[in-house]
Amino acid sequence: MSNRFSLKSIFLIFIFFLLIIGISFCGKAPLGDAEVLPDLSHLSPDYVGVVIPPNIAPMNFVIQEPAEQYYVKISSAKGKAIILSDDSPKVIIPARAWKRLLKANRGNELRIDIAIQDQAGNWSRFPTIINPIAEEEIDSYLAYRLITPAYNNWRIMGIYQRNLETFRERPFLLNRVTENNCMNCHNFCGNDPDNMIFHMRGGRASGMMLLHDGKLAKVNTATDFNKAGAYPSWHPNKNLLALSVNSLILFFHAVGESRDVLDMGSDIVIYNISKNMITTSPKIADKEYMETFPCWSPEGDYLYFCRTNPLDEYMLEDKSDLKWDQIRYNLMRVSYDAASDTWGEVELLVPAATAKKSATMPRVSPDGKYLLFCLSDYSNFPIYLSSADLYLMNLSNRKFTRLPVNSELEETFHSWSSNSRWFVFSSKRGDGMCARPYFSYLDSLGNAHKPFVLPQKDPEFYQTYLMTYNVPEMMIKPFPVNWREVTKAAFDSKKLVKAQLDPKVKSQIAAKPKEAKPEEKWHPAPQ
Amino acid sequence: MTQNAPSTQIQDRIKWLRNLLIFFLFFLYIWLRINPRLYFQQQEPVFFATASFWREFLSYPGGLTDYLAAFLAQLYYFPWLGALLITLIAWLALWSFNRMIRLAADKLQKSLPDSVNLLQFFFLILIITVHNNYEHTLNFTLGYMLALLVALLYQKAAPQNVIYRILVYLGLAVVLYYIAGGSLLLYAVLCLIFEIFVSGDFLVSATIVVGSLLIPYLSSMFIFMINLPQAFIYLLPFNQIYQPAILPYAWYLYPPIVLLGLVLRLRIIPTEDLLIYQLPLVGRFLQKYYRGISRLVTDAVILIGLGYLIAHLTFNSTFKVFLNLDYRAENRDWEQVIRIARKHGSSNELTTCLVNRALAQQGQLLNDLFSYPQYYGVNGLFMSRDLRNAFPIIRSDIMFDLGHINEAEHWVQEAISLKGMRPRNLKRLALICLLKGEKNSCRKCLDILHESPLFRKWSNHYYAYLDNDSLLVNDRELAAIKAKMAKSDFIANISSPELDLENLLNQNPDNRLAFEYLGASYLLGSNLLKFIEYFPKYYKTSYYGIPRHYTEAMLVYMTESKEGSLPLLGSLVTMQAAVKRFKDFKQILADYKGNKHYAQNQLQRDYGDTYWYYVLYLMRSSNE
Repeated sequence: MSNRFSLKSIFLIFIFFLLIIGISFCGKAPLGDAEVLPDLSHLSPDYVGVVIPPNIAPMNFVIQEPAEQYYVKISSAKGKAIILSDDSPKVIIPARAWKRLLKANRGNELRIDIAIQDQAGNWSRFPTIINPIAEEEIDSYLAYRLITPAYNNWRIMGIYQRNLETFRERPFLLNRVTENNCMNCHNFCGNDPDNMIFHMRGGRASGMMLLHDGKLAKVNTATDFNKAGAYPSWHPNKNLLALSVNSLILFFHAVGESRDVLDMGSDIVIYNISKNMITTSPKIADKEYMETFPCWSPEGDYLYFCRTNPLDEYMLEDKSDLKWDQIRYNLMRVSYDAASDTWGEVELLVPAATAKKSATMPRVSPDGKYLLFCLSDYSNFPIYLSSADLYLMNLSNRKFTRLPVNSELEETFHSWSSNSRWFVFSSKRGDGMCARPYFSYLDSLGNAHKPFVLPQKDPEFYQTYLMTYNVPEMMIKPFPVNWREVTKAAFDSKKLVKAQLDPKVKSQIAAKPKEAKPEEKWHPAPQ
Repeated sequence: MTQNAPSTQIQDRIKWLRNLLIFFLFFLYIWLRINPRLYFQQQEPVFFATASFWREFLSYPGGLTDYLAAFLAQLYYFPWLGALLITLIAWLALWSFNRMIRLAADKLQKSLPDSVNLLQFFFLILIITVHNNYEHTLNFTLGYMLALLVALLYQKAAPQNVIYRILVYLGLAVVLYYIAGGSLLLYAVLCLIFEIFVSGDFLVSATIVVGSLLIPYLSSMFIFMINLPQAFIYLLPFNQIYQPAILPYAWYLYPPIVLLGLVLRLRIIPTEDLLIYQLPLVGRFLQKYYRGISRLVTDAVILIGLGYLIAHLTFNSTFKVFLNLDYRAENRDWEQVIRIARKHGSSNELTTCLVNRALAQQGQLLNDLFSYPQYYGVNGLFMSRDLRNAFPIIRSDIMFDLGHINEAEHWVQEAISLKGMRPRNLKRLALICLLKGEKNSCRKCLDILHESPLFRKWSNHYYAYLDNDSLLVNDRELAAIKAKMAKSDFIANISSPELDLENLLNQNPDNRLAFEYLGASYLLGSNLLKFIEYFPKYYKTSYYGIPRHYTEAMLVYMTESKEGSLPLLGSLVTMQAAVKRFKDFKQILADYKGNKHYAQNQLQRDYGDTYWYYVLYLMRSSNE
């Protein structure tokens, strides 16, 4: 009897202590009586007032306010709130609870309440952060290249895929298995990697890797007319690829951003996959102009591109120097009928040159309503120009505006999600050195909302990460091939496909692309 | 027994002392001759206590050894600690090898001949010779040591039962492969020798061969993103460059060859003593005198002598000189740079570049440029294309000194691309960003450096600059660089940076370093006219007097152009002395009837430090 009584007592005391502990943890939430501070709290990354995809990974952050204790409540109209309390300002949101909350609250607001406790034990709270949760999901994957800030040399790089719904990042291809060559310009047809290309340069694996109809091939797109292709764009019929052919050189400034790029000559060619043929038209490979950055419309009835005059028109009168800071590209488009392979007339969409701006990187939204492009003070390589900003054109009326997503630094390499509601772009606004992917929501009225950076499991990850995220492109699913298949195709010289040149091209256009003749034209000193 | 016991005890004690002495000498050699601080200078091993740094090493076999090596290599920063580390690793490797040999002998129920001691210590000589190579990284040595340790573990722990033995072998092989990559090869070969010649088990032997091939193959095919050759050879040093080229093979194959030789000898040859003792005359002599204590002492002397000789012959002293110069230059110890150059010479392009930099920093470039052989022309100032691409940080340093900040940034970023986030690169980039007012970028570099225990203090120092601009203003060195920075833009000339110097000087006439470099580039590039024109334009009386080479160049110019008079910026006495010297120079040439080949010895001896000698003998070849 006495033993049972003592056991029972112990049990009751144990339960009592559990209750005390439980109450002390969950009991009095500090939000109610806390003094309300006037300003929103500073979060790093800045996830204040952003529209959130309902399927995004947890947006962990650091509360940039000094305190002894932090209390965070993440809630919405439906579902259980997420409550976190810690003496560390790092907020790591439980993934499952986050997913459930977002899933249950599409179209609602996500509310983040933050309170801090000072040394005296007093609680203060910040005004509630309201982040709308979009109805529309974002594509599940993001592909990008990771490189160190690029100059002339490179060593390590790779193309990666990140699951946007989790934190999982996996390398698709690392250059340590391709003889440390360069790989870039990955591009997908309709955000679907079932049809994709990317380029590799240097070594035995050089070429354009093409995945088409489940078959992987390496294609040499160089012909007597053109060098190997660069910037790509898929026609929606999945049989045509528009490729620019460029002659880029890097040069360096003594003040400001040191890097700059000059294109000595460019054209656009079309690679017909089924015919294995490179073709073009004077409309997009005119010797009177330099054309680049092709982008098909979603219906394939227009090809958008950028165009400027040849370099010799930018020379000083005495030919001693080049007015490189006046090289500006207009935004153009030309109609095209794939069935008959005929081109229409070229239209000028954005006379950037007359506005003393250079237009680059046109990307049409998959629904065909909008066109995202860059405008910068000059040049066709905006990633090195802090003046590079994103603009959005409404294709129904051709009016365009500068987006509020821009910062004081460059915004470039933008691309759309498959549902046209989200776009991603590269920006160096975080540290001024390395580009990170930022996502922005475009609502049905064409308003772009405040962008947010790609979430990471450790919210301080970007602080010490020196790799640049290059060419972020959203995908609806992961890469369907693995690196072994890719390297097998890349290194098998017997399977190299050499593109043929359309016989019509030879007769219509000069055999050689227009390029500045070295003895006449300016070029920066050789490296 | 009792009569021999004291003798045996004494022998054991002497052996112990001998071993201690050998390891102590090993330690001293690594510390004082090689100087692990120069490993740090060359390899710049980086270690950050961050999750993202750690994660990189999990994605390939051998990554964990790389991670451990990255951590331990921080000890190279302190020379004696680095030497102690290498000594300990060498001791552990040798101990494993020693135990393995003894285990084999025990299993064969034979005694080991005394000559084994000598052979084992020769192993140490090989370790020293690979470490003579300043590009030999610690991960190779660690992988090697791990392979020996795990091979010993297998031989000690492998059960009798064949199936279990196979499982133990494979289990250890898989773990070792993930940790140490291609070091699996050494482990496999040692275990194979053991199994064939000691245990005599065919099935286990076959498993070893098959397993050692399959494990890397399968890992490349199904598990890791590495190509097939890398799957087999990662962390094997055979792709590295050593002098002589056979060295990594000798190092790696030594344990298996010795083990095989020993095991065969024990199995086949009954005697327990040196074969040489069987020879007539010599054998009797050795039997009488080469035994016991005298043998121990003789072995030690032979080993130490041979060891030093081999180490000396394989040591790359030229590269050590360069590393020393680079270390001193990085720490801005210009007097030491000059002193080392005077002592050891500066005959290659890299050392020429560093010496010229030191001279310029001391304001002596136009006085003493030709006191050091200038075989490389302008490349001796700014480095040729191949060299600057191989050592971009040095190019960045020069540009930084000149105030050509964007070019300093360009080249440090090339250095980061090539070598990664090395502390030296990050420190340079942090200061560049600070000077350019790019505080966020500077903070980023400091944040990364802060994760390295060795550089935390440095980063803490410069964090304060981000919040207090007056610290930068009052920092003499940085303020001087900032004052030299270009204010208006121009396009940088990568292949002929001397052209940028004119721009820098035009914008900042007080940029003395640019003045020195520009003058030197004109002289080295045989651009005499420009040199004569530039000098009065940019020279300031606050500089260190009229440089000797200016006077020498002026005399050449006057002779060639038949100019009667030129601006005289120096004292008449100095000028007259120079004129006399020039006449003497020409007289010597005349004495040899203008045959400069015959005159070279004398002219080099008496006038080798002049511009005239350079023009006559070195200028054309240095600019090719």
